[in-house]
Amino acid sequence: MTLSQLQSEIFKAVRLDGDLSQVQSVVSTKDLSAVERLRTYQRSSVLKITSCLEDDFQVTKSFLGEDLFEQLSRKYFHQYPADTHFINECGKNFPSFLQQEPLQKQLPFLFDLAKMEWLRVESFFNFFDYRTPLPTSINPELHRIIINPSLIKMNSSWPIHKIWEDEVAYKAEPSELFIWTTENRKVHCEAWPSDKTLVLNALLSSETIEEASEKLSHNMGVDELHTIFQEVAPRWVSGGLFEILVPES
Amino acid sequence: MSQKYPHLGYGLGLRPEHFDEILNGQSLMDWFEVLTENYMGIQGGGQSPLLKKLLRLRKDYPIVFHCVSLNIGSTDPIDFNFLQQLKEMIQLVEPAWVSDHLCWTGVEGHNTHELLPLPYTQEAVNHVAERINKIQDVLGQRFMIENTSSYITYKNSEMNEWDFISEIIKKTDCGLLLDINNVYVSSQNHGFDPKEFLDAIPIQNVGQIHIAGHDRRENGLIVDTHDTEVCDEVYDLISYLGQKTEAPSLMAEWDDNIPDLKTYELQVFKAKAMLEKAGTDDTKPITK
Repeated sequence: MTLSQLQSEIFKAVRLDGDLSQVQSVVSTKDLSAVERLRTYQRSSVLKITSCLEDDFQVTKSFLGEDLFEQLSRKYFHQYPADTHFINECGKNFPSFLQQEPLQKQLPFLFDLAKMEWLRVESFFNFFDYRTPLPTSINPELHRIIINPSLIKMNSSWPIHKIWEDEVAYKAEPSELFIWTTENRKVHCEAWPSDKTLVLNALLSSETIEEASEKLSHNMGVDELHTIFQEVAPRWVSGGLFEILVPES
Repeated sequence: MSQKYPHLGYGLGLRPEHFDEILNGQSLMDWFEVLTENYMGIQGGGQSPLLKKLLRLRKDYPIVFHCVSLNIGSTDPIDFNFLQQLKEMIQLVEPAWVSDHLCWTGVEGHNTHELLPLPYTQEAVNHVAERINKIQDVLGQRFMIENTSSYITYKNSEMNEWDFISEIIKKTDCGLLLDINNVYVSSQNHGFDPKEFLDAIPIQNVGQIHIAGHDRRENGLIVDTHDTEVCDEVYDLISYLGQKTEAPSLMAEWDDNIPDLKTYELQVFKAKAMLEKAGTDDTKPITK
């Protein structure tokens, strides 16, 4: 048996629900069969990936219940075996996997909930200290916006951030969520009323405050914009969504 | 003792639970080993909170990199993208050396996240040696391989584990991270004398020693769990090694049920005491 054949045989056996009794290459001893020895690897391998999935999708698991979550985890890893060096990436396809499952009647918000939990993981790993601005051609006399690199937006037909926070199946209600991570490695998820969301989106899609104001001037009066801006922009900055570089002088 | 690696003294596997205490100067250790994959794939080129902490630690202590997923023994192609990421991390943190396990973790593009043993065959020696040489070429430095614990042996093995390791080192001049707990665990699972292993390995290439705890299962297998104190038998092997040679940089690992820092460090102090008793610890003592 070549090294390649041996590895193929062992790999098929020790992965989830592999048939250990089919392995020919491993020695059985008088105390312990090859199957019992191989089972140590199989158990450990399955435990590592399922534990990782449990950690990343805690509220999804809470809604599904222990047994159904375990059943779905096993099915998921059959369809999406771990394929990266980093075990923390093993849940990346779990939301889209859940979307294919017939769970819409009981838990219609489940896909969005799982997606939000996964975006929290992505946001966590995307964060870095962004406050040192990169060189730019932007006019230094303008108020430059530097966006937190971990910030991710998500649209949902459900108040997913409340469902996640309270673990309660609230009624459908469209929401635009903002997920971001701060220096203390805490992941935040919030939604704001539509007028504030409009302002926030304009800020996040602009390089300067002046550019955002120009965009908003088509939808909002100057006074309304000024009021909203005065009220929430400092909180967005102190909350870590973005920084505003004030021009020198 | 190896002249191929610097002697760093006594260290620990760095765990997040102790990071702040260590940064606050509350550790008595000389150096730390980090699990490299935990710091890879993070955006921001050293500006992420985790990497910033690691770089702060690096200012005060030597650090070594320990990998778990280079998949050195696999028949899959080497993942050069991963190696490139590793090289970038090496340039950022400047570890004293880099190691991974002498094993395979997956094939066909999939990963079991398990340290699966290799058959001890000439084919595997040639295969692994070729891959280590490629890794050393890419990284531009001597790489270190760790002997793993194992629960299975293969029918087609042509030699014992220590000859397998020695053959690979002969072909690559790579370093050996000698995990004494793994030697003990495998000796119990496969019925060999661990001292025979220690007598046979090329000691001049040993750059680092691991010690850790393990768990004996109901079916008799000992599993390398890293979730408890180091056992007396492992300390006896440290003492045996210490009678033969000056021990290289030594550290403890603990990955589950992680204790407070003092208990963790105690594992290392016991080993230090063993080596002092054996009379070969004329290396630099713990510095703080």
